[in-house]
Amino acid sequence: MADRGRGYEAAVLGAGCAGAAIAYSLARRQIIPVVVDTVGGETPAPASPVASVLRGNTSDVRLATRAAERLPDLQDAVGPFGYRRTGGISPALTDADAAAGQARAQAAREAGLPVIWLSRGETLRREPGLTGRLTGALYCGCDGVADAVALRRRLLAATVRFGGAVYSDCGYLHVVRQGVGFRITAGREELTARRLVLASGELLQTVGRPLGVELPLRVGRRRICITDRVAPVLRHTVNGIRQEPSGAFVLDPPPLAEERSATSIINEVETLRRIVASALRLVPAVEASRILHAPQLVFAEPADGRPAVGRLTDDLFIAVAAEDQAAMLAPMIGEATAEAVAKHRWPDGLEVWAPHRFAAAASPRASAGVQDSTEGS
Amino acid sequence: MPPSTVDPDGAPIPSLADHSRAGGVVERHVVVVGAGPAGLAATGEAQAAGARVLLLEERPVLGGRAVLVPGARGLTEGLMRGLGNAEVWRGSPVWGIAGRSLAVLRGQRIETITAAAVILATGAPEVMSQFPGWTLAGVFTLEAAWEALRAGRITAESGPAIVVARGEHAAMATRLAERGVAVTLVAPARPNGAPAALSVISTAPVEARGTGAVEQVVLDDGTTRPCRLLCIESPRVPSIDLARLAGCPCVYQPQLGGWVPRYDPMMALHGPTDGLFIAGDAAGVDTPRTAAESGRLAARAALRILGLLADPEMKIAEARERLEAAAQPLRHAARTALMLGVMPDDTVESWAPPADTVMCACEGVRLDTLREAAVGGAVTPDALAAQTRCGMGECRWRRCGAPVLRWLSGFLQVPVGRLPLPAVWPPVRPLPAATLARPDLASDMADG
Repeated sequence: MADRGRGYEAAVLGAGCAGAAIAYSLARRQIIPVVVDTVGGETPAPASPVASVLRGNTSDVRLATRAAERLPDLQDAVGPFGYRRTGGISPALTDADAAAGQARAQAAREAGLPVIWLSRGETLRREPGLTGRLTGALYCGCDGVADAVALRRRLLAATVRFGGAVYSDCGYLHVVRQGVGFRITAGREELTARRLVLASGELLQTVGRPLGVELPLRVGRRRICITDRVAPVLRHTVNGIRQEPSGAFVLDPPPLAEERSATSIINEVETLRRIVASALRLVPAVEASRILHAPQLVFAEPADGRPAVGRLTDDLFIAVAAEDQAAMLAPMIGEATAEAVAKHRWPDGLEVWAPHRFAAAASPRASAGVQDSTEGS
Repeated sequence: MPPSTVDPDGAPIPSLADHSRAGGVVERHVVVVGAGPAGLAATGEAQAAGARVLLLEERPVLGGRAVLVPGARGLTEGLMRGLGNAEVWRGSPVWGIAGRSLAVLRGQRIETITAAAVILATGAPEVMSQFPGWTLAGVFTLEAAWEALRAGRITAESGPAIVVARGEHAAMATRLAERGVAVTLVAPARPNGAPAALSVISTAPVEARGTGAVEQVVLDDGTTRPCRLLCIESPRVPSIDLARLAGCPCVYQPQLGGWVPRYDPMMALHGPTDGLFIAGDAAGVDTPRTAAESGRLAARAALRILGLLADPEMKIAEARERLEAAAQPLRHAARTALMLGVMPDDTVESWAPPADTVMCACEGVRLDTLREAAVGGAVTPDALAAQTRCGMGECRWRRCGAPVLRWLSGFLQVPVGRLPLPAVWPPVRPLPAATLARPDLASDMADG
C-alpha cells in the first residue's frame, strides 16, 4: 500500500459506495485521498441492493435519473460493476393504489421526470411475470441494479491507481482536529489530512461526535432472501423483487419499521414469511423457488431517510445515504463532493441534499472544545 | 469435580412448564438433531429416563453414515432398538436455531420446536478435496458410493471402477468386485482377503476426464485409465452450521476433522445459550462407537440439568469412562484439549489444486477466479462469496468451505485456524418458498 508520508490532502472516512465514489472523484482531480474504514465492508449478498428510483421522492428521482446517465460511463472508466438498466415497476393491487399511483405519475410528469402510469394490460404486456390481480403500475425506465460490492471495489482500485491509499479493516478509528487539519488514528496507522469527508455510515456517530457533527442516524437491519435458479420470468425490478440473469430471485423488501429480535425462532420464521408473502403477492413464480440464503444487511441512513451530502465547514464534508441510494447515486455523490472539496463550489441542483441540516454543531469552536478534552485525556 | 453446565451468572435452565407459549410451538424436554449413532444413543438414553424426547433426522432413514458404511451396523441396530417408542421425525431437516428453539421443515410445513435441552448430533460428512474433474457424474465420495450401492444404483455395467480407499474402507472395492464391476483399488498395500479379480495399484488418480460423466482418469504417473465410477475416500468434516447459527464459537483442530465448536467436558456448547449440547462426529470425527458414547454422555448431562437423572454423578462418570474407553487415544487427547480450552491449531496449509479446477461446484467457480479475487483483496470467505459467488449455491459452503479455507491458508500464509469462517444465516438448508406461503395468504391478498 502506498505510503505517502502519511499526510494526505483529503481523508475519506468510510469505504462504502459513497466513500469510494468520493475518493475516486478526488483522485481524478489530483487531490490524493486516503480512505479509511474499520471493517472490510463485504456483505454476503451475491449481488447488491436494488436502486429503486420509484421508492424515492421527486428530487431523488431527478438525481437518480442524472446518475443513471453517468453510471455506464463510470463502468467504462473503472471496470464492470454489474450495472444494468432494468426499468422499475411498482404495481398497484387495488383501485385506491391505482388512483394514488396515477396522481403520482401526473405530478412526476409535471416535474419532468421519466415516471409514467401503465394500465393493467400494458403492465402485463411489459412484465408477464406479474400477478394478474394488479390494477396498474408506475413505471420508471431509468431504474436499474448495480452490484454495490463490485462498485465499491472497482472505485477503490481505481483510487489506488491514481495514487490514493486505502486502509480498510483497520478495526479502530479515531479522529481529532490538529492544527489546520485532522489527525486520524486508524488501527496502527497515524495519518494526517487537511480535509475530511465523513462517509462512514453507521460509524458516523462515534467518529463524528469528537468533531462536533451530530447526525441523527437510523441504523437497522434488513433481511433479503436469495433463491435458487428458476426459469426466468421477471424482466424488471418490481418493488425490490428482481431476478438475476442466472434465474435466482432476490427478494429485497423495504426494511421493517420496527426491528424484530433475531433471537426468537418465531421471529425468524415470521421475517422470512413476510418477505416471501410480499413477493408472492406480486410475482407468483417465486413460489416455485427455494430460499438458499437470507443474509442480514446492516444499514445506516439519516433518520429522515434522505441522503445528507455536502459541506459542513471549510474542511469538513459529509456524505451519508442509504446503501441502495448510495450505489445508485454514486456518480453524483462522488462528483459533487469532490467538486466541493476542490473548489468550494457546490454544483447546481444538489442543494436538496441539505447537509446543513447537520452543520449547526460542526462549527470549529465546538470541535475545538472537544479536541481539548480528547487531548487532555 | 465436573464443571457445571449452567453458567453461574446466568439464569438456571427453566423447566418445561416455563416454556409454555401459544402459537403452535412444539415443546419437548430434549430435542436431538441427527440420527446417527450419537443421536440414536442420546435419544435412547433420554427416552429411558422418561424425558419427552424428539429425534429429528434430515434423511428418510435412521442411522446416518453408520448404516451406509460397513463396520457399525450391529451397533446402529442395537441403538435403534434402544429408541423404544421415542418420537422420531424422519426427512425433517432443521434449518434454523435461535436459543433452544429450532425451525424444522417437515414435509411441506414449517414447525418450530422449543426444548429445555437441544443435543446437536449433526455428524461429519465426507468432503471431497477438489481436483480437476471432481464435479463430473460418476465421481463419488466413499459415503456416496455406499449409498448408491445400497440403493442398487451400481450394477456390473457401472464399471470400470477405481476406488481410492485405505484400510477397512477398501471393502468398497471388494463389494464392487462381487457385483461384477471391474475394479482397480488404489491403496498402499493389497488388503488381506482381497479377491484375485481385484487389481491393486498405488498410483493415485489426479484428474477425471469426460463430458458430463467421468470417462477416464489420469493417474499421478501420467497414464490414463478408462473409468466410469471413481470412488474416493475423503476426509470427514464436522457439520457445524447449526452450532454456529446458535452463536457457538468454533476452533480449528485438524485432529478432529477441522472446525469444531467449543464445548465443555459435559459436551455442553460454549456460547450465548445454556442447554445446548453437542455429540458424535460433529464434536470431532471419531469411530461410531465413540460417537454413540458421546451421545450418551451429552444426554445424561442434559437430563441432569432437567432433574431427570437419578444418581447423576455416578452415571455421568460412567458415561465419561465409556467414552474414553471407546475413543481413539489421539483423538481423545485432542477432544480433551478442546474441552480444556486449547488454542487454535497453527498449521499453515500448502494445498492447491491446478488453477482451472472448479472449487465451488454449485456456482462453477474456478480456483483462478478465486485467486484473482484474493489478489484484489478479497481474503475472507465472505469477500470471496460477494465477488465470485463461491459458496452461494445450494450446498452453502458444505462442499467448498473447508477446501477454500485450506487453499486460502496457503495463499495468505496464515494458519487455517486464524481465518474467518463464512457467515451463516438461516435457512441452513434450502427452504421451499411454498412452505413459507401462509395458508391465509389468499385472505391477506383480498384485504390488501
